Amino acid sequence: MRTDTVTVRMLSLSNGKLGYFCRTPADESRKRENSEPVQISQPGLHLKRNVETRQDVALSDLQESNDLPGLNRSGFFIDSTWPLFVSSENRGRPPVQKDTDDEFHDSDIDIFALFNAVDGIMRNGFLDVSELDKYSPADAEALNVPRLKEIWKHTTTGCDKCRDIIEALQNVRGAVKDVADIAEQNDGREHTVDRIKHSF
Amino acid sequence: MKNQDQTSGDEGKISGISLKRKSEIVFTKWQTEKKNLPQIADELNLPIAEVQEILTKEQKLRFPLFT
Repeated sequence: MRTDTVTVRMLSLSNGKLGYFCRTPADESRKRENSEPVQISQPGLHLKRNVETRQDVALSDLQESNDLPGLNRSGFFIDSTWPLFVSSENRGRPPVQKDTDDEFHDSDIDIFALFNAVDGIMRNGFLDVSELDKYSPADAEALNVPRLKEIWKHTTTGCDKCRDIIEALQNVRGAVKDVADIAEQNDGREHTVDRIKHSF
Repeated sequence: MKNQDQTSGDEGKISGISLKRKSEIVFTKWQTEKKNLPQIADELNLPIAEVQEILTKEQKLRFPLFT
């Protein structure tokens, strides 16, 4: 019977780099020697064994070879200078950092509540905190004025999100007023034009 | 029979209407009528804290990009 030597080239992805090694019949026989018969009665054990023996063969390849792999040498090439992408510290997506200022922007009492409590009145570029002192003691307690003042202090730190929310709320309220003002002006103009027409 | 979508004339009280409709009324009074919290609370005869809560919730609901 004719037998040919077959070299099996296997690809291996190691540390993000694609390397390769050749498997010769000698490797296969070594692998068989290392392998032990697996009892079927132990579920999952054959898979574990298979992985272990493959690792053993690969390791022995490295141990036996004193030369580094290169163009004419097969084997694993491990570049230790590459960053380790999969490690216990860096597995999967980085955790999302919770915005610690959310209590000021989206909670039961937040920047919206402050804006409404001071009716959007501004002083020196910030919401007018003195408006909070105009509430009766009962209303102040119901609105939790001390907490609103804490939120106001936060806004004075130059928080961009607070500034955006305040600006947006003012625009929402102002836009309707502008439309109403324009409508009133147009009505007045039409009446004036009508009066002029009637006068001729 | 009183219209459920309107405030009652006798007491200025909104009763027997859904929270959704109540929220719309509060928001309209704030946005288009430019009423402040005490005014809305007085007109609707609601506790000021309730008006505050309804209004802020409605603002966030209508403008979710703010939060």
